[in-house]
Amino acid sequence: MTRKVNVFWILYGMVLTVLFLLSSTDLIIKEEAAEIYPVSVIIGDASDENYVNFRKGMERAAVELNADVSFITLYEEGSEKQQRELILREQEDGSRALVVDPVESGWLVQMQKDRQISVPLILLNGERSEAAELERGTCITFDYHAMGRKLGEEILKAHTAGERICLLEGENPDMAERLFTRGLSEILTEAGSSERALQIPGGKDMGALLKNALGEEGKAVIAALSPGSLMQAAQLLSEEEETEKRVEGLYGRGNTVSLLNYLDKGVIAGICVTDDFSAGYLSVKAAVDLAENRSVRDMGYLESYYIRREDLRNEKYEKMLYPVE
Amino acid sequence: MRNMKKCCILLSSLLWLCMALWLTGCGSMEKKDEKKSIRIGVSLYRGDDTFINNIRGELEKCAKEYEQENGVKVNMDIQDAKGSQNTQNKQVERFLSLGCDVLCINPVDRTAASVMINKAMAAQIPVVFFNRQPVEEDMDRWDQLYYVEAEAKESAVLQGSIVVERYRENPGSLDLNGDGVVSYVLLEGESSHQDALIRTEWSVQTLRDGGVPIEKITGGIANWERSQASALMEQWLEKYPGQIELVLCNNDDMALGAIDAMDRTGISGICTVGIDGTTPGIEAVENGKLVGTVSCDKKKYAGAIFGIAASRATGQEIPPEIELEEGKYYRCPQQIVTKNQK
Repeated sequence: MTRKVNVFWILYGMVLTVLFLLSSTDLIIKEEAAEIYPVSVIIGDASDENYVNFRKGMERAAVELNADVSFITLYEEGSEKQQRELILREQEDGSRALVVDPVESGWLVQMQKDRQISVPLILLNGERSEAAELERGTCITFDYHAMGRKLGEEILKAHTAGERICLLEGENPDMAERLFTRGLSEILTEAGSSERALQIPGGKDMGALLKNALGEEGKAVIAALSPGSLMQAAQLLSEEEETEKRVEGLYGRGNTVSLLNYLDKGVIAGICVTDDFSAGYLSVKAAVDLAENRSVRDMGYLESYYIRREDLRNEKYEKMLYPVE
Repeated sequence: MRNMKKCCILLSSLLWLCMALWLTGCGSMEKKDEKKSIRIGVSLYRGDDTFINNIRGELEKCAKEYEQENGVKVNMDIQDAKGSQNTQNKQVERFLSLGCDVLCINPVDRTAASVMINKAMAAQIPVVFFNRQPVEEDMDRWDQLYYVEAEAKESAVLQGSIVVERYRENPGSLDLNGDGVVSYVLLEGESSHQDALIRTEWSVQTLRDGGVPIEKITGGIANWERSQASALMEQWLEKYPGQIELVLCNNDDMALGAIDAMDRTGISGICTVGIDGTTPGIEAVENGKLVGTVSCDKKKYAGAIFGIAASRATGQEIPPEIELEEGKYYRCPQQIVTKNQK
């Protein structure tokens, strides 16, 4: 009897030990560690001001797809040298895919061709023709050229009296701005209105140059070619009543909350907006897929729209412009 | 035979000692190896709070400067908890699973920091809290917990002194109806935030101590938010026409909300004061809409958060310019900002 009891207790102890090993350790059942994909996103700006919705989409994808995303801004806006250095640093630090909004076109594809970049590359806001040359990568972009054309059409539709059109450049024009400008200029030329247009360089003196261009008499329409120059112009018009009186309408492109507030207040008449949340989400998704050697389908151009003040309350645009994380 | 046994014991003890020394040596060698990159997880109670947003911007600048000066890569992951403690707890879990070297947390609920502290302590990851102080019992649990703030009492006393000085210079600029009493309304931050209570108490106390004859008309909690403050102020302007002479606000966002309401109703001349010295707040002081604000040096504030975090992440001493009280509290210096005094 005593022996049986001893055997029972020994067996009981052994069962408990096995159960403990099963439940609390991975000695018997190996739990598969979730793989984390380090992805680096390197933009061409020194601040993330124009990437707020993009980051929201990026962060959503990071949580859903187990990606560890580093969002990196440059020390100095528009510096290709820094962008190159950061790309190499991130690759060396173990990034399995790079999402890059290049300050200039061409060199990034060349870096991949020269085998300096060995991880998949996702081009942001680039030209799709350039993405076709990528060996391992894809392109997430908007049709800035079409956006420029659309804005031009809307301006010509709303202002038929032959007012001057002041085109405000950004401080450091990037690829998106160049494509946008090309589209806008094409429309003005096609409509025979190019002589109405006056290009004003961006930078700190832009306000003074604009006021000078507006002159004492007559009215003008302003088309800002970058989100930065649109913001500068909106601030100027909201602060200076005299200048505002000489402007028939302020137009441009950009998605920041400040710009949308100016649109809501009526300082900006019309604006081209993009679905940045989707761009952020899709770029991280493409990065993870390519890191896993899965194929990524060509996404074409992502959606962009021209909106006015009344469209801000439209559910479709509200969801796109103020996405919930 | 017995001698042989003694020899064996001695030899094995020596071997163990050597092994221990070697391992300790390895450890110290590892410590001496400078880190090439650090990872900092930052969780904000609400990203749309103007003051917090300013601090966020300064933190990013600090990270870039540190990278350039020290050649150490800083991976700073900044997340917005959107006012949810549950979300913040999840963010902390994610930061820890991603291998952050240190956490910087602006708690949603200062009384619920223990969950995050437990997780950080289990992972041996230091935490720098800022702006909302966890309760003292929590702060005392571990020597790797720090807190950075702009002291609420000092902010309030400085805010009060802006009004006292104005009253002494020209009582008529405050006592608009000339009845000998300055009638004020109060816009307060959320009731669970220790700063809201202290700012209110000491701001009013400073006015009294400074000899300003004051009378409270009403007050309300606007949760630090511009829109809520604006709605409250609009109601008060309707309810107490011509009576409000001073608006005391626990922060700049609420002061700007009160000014928005005054602009909408076409009322001007009411003295409004704020705290925080946010960028829009200082702009409002410059264009004369806000009489004054109290600004902490945001560069120093963020510099202290980052400095403590970076030194903890790299295992170095906290820089001497970050003077810690009781080895864990940093109080950021503050100053008055008025149109004439910047």
